Amino acid sequence: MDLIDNLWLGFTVAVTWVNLLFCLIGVLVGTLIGVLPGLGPVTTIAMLLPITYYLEPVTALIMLAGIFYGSQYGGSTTSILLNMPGEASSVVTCLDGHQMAKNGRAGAALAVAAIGSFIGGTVATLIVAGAAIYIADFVKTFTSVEYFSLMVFGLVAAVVLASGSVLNAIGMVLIGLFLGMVGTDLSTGAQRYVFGVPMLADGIDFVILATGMFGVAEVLANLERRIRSGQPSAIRNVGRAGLTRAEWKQSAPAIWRGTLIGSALGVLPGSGGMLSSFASYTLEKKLAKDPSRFGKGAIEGVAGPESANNAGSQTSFIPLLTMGLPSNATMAMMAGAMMIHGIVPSSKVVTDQPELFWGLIASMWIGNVLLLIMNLPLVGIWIRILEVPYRLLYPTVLLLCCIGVYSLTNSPQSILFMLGFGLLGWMFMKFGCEPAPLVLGFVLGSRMEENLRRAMLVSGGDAWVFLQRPISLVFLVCAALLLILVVLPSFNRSREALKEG
Amino acid sequence: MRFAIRSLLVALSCTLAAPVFAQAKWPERPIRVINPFTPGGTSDLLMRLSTERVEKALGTQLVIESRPGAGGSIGSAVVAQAPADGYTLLVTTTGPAAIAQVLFEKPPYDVVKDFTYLYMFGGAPILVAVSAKSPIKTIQDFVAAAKKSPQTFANSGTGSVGHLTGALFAGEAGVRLTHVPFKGAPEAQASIVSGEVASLWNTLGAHVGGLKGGEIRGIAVTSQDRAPQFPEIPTLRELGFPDVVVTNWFLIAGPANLPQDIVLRVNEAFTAAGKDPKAAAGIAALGVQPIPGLNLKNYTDFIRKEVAVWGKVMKEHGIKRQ
Repeated sequence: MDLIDNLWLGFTVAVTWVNLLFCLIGVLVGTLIGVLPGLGPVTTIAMLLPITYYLEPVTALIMLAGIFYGSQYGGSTTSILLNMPGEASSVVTCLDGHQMAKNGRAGAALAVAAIGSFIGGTVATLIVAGAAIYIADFVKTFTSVEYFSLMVFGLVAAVVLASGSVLNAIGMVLIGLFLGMVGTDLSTGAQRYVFGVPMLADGIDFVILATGMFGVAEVLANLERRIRSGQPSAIRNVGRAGLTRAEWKQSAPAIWRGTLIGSALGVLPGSGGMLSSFASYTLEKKLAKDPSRFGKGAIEGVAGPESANNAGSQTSFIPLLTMGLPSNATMAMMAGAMMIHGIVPSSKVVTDQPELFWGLIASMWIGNVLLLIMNLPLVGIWIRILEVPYRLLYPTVLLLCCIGVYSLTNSPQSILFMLGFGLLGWMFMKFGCEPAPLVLGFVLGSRMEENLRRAMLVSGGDAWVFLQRPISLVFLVCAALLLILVVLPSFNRSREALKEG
Repeated sequence: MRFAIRSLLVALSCTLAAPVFAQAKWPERPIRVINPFTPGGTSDLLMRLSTERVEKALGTQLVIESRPGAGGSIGSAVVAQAPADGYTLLVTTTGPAAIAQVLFEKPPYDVVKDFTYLYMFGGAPILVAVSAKSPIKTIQDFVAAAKKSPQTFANSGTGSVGHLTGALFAGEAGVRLTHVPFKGAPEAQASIVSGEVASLWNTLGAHVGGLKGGEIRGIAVTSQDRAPQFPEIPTLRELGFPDVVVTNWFLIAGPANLPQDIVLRVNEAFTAAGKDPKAAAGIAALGVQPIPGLNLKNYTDFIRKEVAVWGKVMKEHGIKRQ
């Protein structure tokens, strides 16, 4: 069989001492990027880029790819332990992951994140190996119309993922859309809601918003609780590292579903990876027998999205590898690393440079094994952070938040913005409004607008295109169904309340 | 606890690394290079190819940061407002560095007064391409299709060279073209492959892979002579449009009033990178050709001339300011 021959070729390339070493360096650096806030992938990869000049192209690609998926792997740690999401997709992990930590199940959350990521990554690598070209053909049919409808679906999913009132969730999505609009209009350069503040002209940075709304707000809430009750610490019971039998049973199907969703959505350039973790969470919540457990530490809410996220980070290589189109800064570095060695990234790479293509794919599988071996033993160490007395832990968390934000922008102003969002997040918490829908609205807003405008421009202002194109129609119907499903129970409840009243 | 200790170490090293005393000897920390388009476009790839040698020459790291939007003027504005300390540079093209001045109603910066131009990579033609599956095979087919109904064209944004080249061509050929802006080359190429947009008018560099891979079909280039690596693609000049000869220039710039020693060092570093055989081969593969006779003394004059050229194009073809 061709696939087996090709994979064999791939492993003969990937399993050499040099390539194994650089795969290890890649995933190690990636994990550090994921775990330490303030160590951004762009800066870190820039540090390593010069090495690629001297490496064989395949070795360079193996290392750069390792950094990329390694950082996705490591991103869950701070979300679970400290409620600090480093990127949009780990916002979902915060929801139930940090609650699990509060319930004394931090070890289980971290372990299931590592195992889910491993399964997601491994399966997605196989999918890339077996079906990259067919998947690429599917991606090639996506236009602004499909992207817009997918994002509409994403926003409806954001409402579902909130555990409180539907009305509050819709309100938060709208605030998120509004915050996403701040800045310079992408197609005309006009400034919107900038009020003469130079920092706002560039838009609000995601890391500033998320670090404030999650990390800082969590510290504020914990301190408040502590002052009120006189309790010494937010989390006292650290718990065991392993998973219980019941937790295994709950996580396993979530991991498989997350892997499928992630593999499918990860291929789409731009927001695919992030949407996949949100979509997986929504699905798990809808399928669960008791959805009210979500937001209170449901292990499926960590297992599904983490698997989806990592599966997506493997399949997101497909556009670069099969079409020569890089979709983010890391992929552009990989394109650069190929060009410096005289290889033009294009659909011809698969046939002209099979050892490059298959070597990289084999290395991804090896990289995932390395990540699992590295991460599982670390779980026991990570959870001991929670044993640190809170009076010592919270200044450290705040300091990390500040470093992360400052290193991103080099401006003290951004730290003030972060603290502002922290206060806002704390207030929202008081009103029972959850920040996750806001974050999704914020991230999707500008992309949604861009695609809507483009779709309208191409169709000449004809809005029916969204219903005429089949894939787009499917997304919109799913969004409508989901919306009905969400609104109905609360509708019934309020009617019952009326009757009783 | 280990985590806390490690975090403190990171915090400590950050404070130590921060420059307390202003530039005693530049550069003492990594230099940020803003690329005002999405990753993977020609400007981004040019930087990736030069980075290693430039870093070696300057003795520090370059961090390339994408700030796409509004045809490159959003990212360029960031650099125009940055302090002139040599730690924020820009990789720019004719779009944000000349066209922005004449196209936008309120340009966010002055391309002559707000920048110091440090190095010129060279110029590349605009590629006119369609999807490989499109029935359009030649520029005549395209003009015929556009006479029947307005055709759409994609490129790296409002005010990019591809945008104005399309508008210029529409005027010369007497057809109507609808401009569909994207934030960078990869997205624009994907839009013609999906069939959403009818044609691509964008700088050749980032589409070399698409041409070689056979997803897109080049039907014309805008250079004076055919591009060396694609001798089969005719020029618009030979196809009967002698006035549509357009080059997109690629430059390195910094904020206005950069200290002279920094200007010289950046120029030397990039010049050295351009002479490196591996980097030079990659740059040539992107279709970017150096032009003789340009140096630090006349870069700004060159920009001034480009602004005038595009101002004239806009006036002659009645292209409205935005």
